[in-house]
Amino acid sequence: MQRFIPLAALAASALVLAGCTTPPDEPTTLVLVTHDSFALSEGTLEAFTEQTGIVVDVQSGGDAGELVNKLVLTKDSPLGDVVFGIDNTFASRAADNGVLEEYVSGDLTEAEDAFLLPAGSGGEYLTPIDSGDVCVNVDHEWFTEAGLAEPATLDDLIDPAYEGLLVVEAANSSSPGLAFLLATIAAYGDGWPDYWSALVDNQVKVAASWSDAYYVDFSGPSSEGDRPLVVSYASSPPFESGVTGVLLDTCFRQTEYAGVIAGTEHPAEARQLVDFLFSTVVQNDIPENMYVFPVNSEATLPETWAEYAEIATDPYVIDPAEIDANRERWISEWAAIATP
Amino acid sequence: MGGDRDPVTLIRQSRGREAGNPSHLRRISSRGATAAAWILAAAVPLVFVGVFFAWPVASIVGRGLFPDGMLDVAGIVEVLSRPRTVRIIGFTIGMAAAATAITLVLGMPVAYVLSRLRFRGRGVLRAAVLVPFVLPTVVVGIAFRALLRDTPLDGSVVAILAALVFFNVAVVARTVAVSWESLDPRQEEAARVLGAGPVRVFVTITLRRLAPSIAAAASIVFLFCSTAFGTVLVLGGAKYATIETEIWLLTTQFLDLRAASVLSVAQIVVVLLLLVITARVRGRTTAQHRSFATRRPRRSDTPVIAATVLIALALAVPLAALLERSLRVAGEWSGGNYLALASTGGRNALTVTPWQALGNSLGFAAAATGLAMLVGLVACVLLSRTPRSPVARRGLDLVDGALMLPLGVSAVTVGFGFLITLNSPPLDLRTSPVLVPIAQALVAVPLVVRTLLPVLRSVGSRMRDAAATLGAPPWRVILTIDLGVAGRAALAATGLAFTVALGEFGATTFLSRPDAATLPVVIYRLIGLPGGDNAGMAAAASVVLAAVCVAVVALVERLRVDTAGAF
Amino acid sequence: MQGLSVENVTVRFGEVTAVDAVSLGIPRGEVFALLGPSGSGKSSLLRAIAGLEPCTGDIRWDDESVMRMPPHRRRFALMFQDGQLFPHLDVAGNVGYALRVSTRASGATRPAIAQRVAELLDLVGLAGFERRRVTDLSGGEQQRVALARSLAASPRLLLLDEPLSSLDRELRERLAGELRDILRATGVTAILVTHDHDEAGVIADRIGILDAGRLVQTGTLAELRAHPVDDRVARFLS
Repeated sequence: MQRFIPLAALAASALVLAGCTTPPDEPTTLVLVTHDSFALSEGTLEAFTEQTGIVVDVQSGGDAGELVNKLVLTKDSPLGDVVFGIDNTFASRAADNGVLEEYVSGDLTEAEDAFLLPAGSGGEYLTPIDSGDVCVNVDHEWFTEAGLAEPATLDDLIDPAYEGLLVVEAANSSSPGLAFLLATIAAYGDGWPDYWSALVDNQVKVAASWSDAYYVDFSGPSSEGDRPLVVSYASSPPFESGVTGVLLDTCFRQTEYAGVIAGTEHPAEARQLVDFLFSTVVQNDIPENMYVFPVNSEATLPETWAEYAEIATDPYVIDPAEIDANRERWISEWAAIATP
Repeated sequence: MGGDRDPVTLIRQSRGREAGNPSHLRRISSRGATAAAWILAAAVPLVFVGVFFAWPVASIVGRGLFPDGMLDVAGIVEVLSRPRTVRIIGFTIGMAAAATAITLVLGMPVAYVLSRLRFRGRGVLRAAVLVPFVLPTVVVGIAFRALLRDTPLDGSVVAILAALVFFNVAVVARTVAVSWESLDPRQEEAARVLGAGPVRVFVTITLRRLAPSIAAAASIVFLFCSTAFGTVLVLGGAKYATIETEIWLLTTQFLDLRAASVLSVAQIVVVLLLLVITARVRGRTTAQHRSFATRRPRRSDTPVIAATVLIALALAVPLAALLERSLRVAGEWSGGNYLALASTGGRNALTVTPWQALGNSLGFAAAATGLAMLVGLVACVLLSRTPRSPVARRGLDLVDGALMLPLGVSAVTVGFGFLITLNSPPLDLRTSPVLVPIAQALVAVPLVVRTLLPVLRSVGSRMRDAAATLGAPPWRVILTIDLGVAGRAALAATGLAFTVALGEFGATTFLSRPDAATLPVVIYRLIGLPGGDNAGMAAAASVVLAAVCVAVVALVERLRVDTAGAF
Repeated sequence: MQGLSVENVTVRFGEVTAVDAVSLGIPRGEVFALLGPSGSGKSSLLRAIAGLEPCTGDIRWDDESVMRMPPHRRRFALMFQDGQLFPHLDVAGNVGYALRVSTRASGATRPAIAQRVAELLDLVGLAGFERRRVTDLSGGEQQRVALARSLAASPRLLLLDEPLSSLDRELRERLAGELRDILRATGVTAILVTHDHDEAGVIADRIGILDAGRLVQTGTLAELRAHPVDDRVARFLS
């Protein structure tokens, strides 16, 4: 029966690993639960440990939508102490399900007011950390060569002059796809289905994911496609050295938040970590690692960002509570129109 | 018969007296030990699948179906009566069935060439057919879409089917090749001599004898196709919903556990139906397995070779596109993408370099392969026995079926199941890296079982009897006869398991940690970022992943498990 | 009694009684043939003696019961009608199998095994066949390998289940003589199951006739022919 020893050994080592608890003289370890896009430079979280003696263990996996659902499902035995990456489209679900402790960083100033969530939609629980706009990106070169004026607004996109030029991601399988749908809902209210019918008539292409919309269908310099308009992020143009740009009147703002997970054994330390995520140490590090803008007004942007990245002054927004209440219906109705 | 009674009674009495004899006691305990060993052996696969699959899935499905501790009958009926639900289940089954049929037809010539003909580079070809299998779906999906972009096929069911076939031909080619290798060609030759035409011989003899392994391959392919996620979304342009994509949408976006649970149950029912169907086809084969010499190709092989070459070329097109992409930087030919694999990408896109991620991948895949082989081998040895009692036989069929379930149930369901079950000591594994190889092994075990079991079942009980009377204790019979005969198949299974583990993405991304990211996770991240250098790196990393897979599998298969002394 | 004694052994498959209260003694060194038409229960009796078929009654070797011994401890080697050679091993691997796997033989060195294999192959007329694949051998060669493999274990008792019946007639007759010589040369105690009385007469010292699971008569072929116990036996032997 010697052949069975490896499994037994594996199981035993798993048990040992799992059974380990922190001895009293060890530093506190906080588990930071986040999504798979989370990234910071080496040394950034270590700076926090140096400052406070608290070790941060990052658990990243799944996308932003999964993140909140994970927290809801594990409410009785929390996955960690601090969550980062809940965005405004899922914030109210997190708030309603009681998975967060009431805490918002005291370091916020009036300059960040615009990012705060309304009360009842997560405002009491979530501290804004970064923000990115999902906007239609445009291939400047293509329009120059075609001798066609670039579109500017959502209305322009249904103009027959731009027939067959736009590729979007599916709202039911892609986060920027959903953001763009929300932008149109914010813009047209109950009339959004008509707008989408018009987009379909104007030969909009629906791709399943950002990757294949951007790399297969978009005509940008690093892409192979033939459509000069794509739904992407406001932070994408810096990667294309300014050959592409953003239609600033088509943007939906996605803000990502951090919060203290209800049931943490280290609430004080968890708050410190939320504060740290809002501090300029992390905020300065965010653009080049996560390709979104820091919310802290004192953060400094990298050079290429300052040169090519643009921020919409008046992006579309919808109350998170309204998004959560209507998400399923909107997506189903959208699918019926856009992917018949 | 009356006269027999007394001697029998006498013997019984004498037996009773013998019980005082110490050596006799030892024998009884050794028999008890044998029974205990079998029970322990049965426990290995059952505990593994029970703890890491059945329990998590039952828990998450239970939450959906029993929201307040009571079965939500009205809710279930409501979900099932949605036209969308019915349509999705129908589409999933139809799509998977069609893809399976095409894959079978295209995989057979390849299996023949791999198993019967001797030519240069056969070993490499055997390994190379696995390449599509290991590539991340997102990368292949993009390669496919790039090829189809300006055709009416883009976003069509045909595109989905083509990609599913692309991914799964390897399963048929390799599973069937293992059995084909051990068919005695003299039987076909005899039939030819008796005047049967080649088609007739193929249908009446070859196909019939290959039926168990074809059924095994078909069931695996069907399950892979019915749970395909990225392929269906990317190539279908998000137009087609399958049970798998719907469970993802319902669970991760809508948190509609009730509907997701109903669909998870539907998946389980599909697997069970499939098992019933394939069990009919498969039966319990008793054909002898031997390894017959391969031969040089003959003129009569031309059609099969031509078909194989065509299929290989078709499979190579998306791969060539990927290779070409990996060798271009800003439109120019360059090896820069490969040099970049030692870095964390343009603008620090990654937390680990792709080479480090490859190391992580190999480590996880090796652990997963070891685990899958251990569980799979034990399960196969067990399942290959034909116990006398019908109850025990039915029990074995249940074990057999249970081991297939992980292939047919959504990774999302399993992943969320992990979160709500493995949450307290001693099994608080939710944040442990140990879960990654375990999740990979869950998917690999069914492949191991389906590859090995037909071969092990062919080891007749009389061959084991012969070994026993030659003085081999039961455990030695298993090691020297069962595993000896299954040696080649075990190597093939090891290669498959390793490939699946190396390419696994769904569960891995759900569980992985940034400092232990695997190569597929890194590729996914790279391709999710704008800028040509990241996409180029993703292509290069995919090529490396494929090359490493081929190299490792080819190496494993070069190993020889020759004599009993090797164990 | 020195040797094998079978007492009142009965083998049942559900409702069917395959072997019906057979008693039989075989002294050491004797070659005994179990003769009978197909379905008479001879193979079942052989498998019961080997420990492969559950039975009632008692089976003893040198007055020690082996009923509770698993097959691998009985040291009764069974040679099958179709050889049951191990396809994944070459000829030497098959013949040397018992020397490697049995707990009794543990400690045998590689050269010692190789030498023993060579001797046995020489004995069965296949000298130099060590590295051949068993699947490439003719039927007669396969049975010789099977015989050598069974003898390698130095069994207390050799059980031969129709060892020649899968071969053609001419080869069968030639091999029968060789088999007799080999068994004599090794002095092994053996039970040969066959439905061919000539073969039984050539190879065995004594013959037992099994009919419908019952042992109806034992004796030499000449004795049986001279005094058949009933008409059925007489007809079977003619």
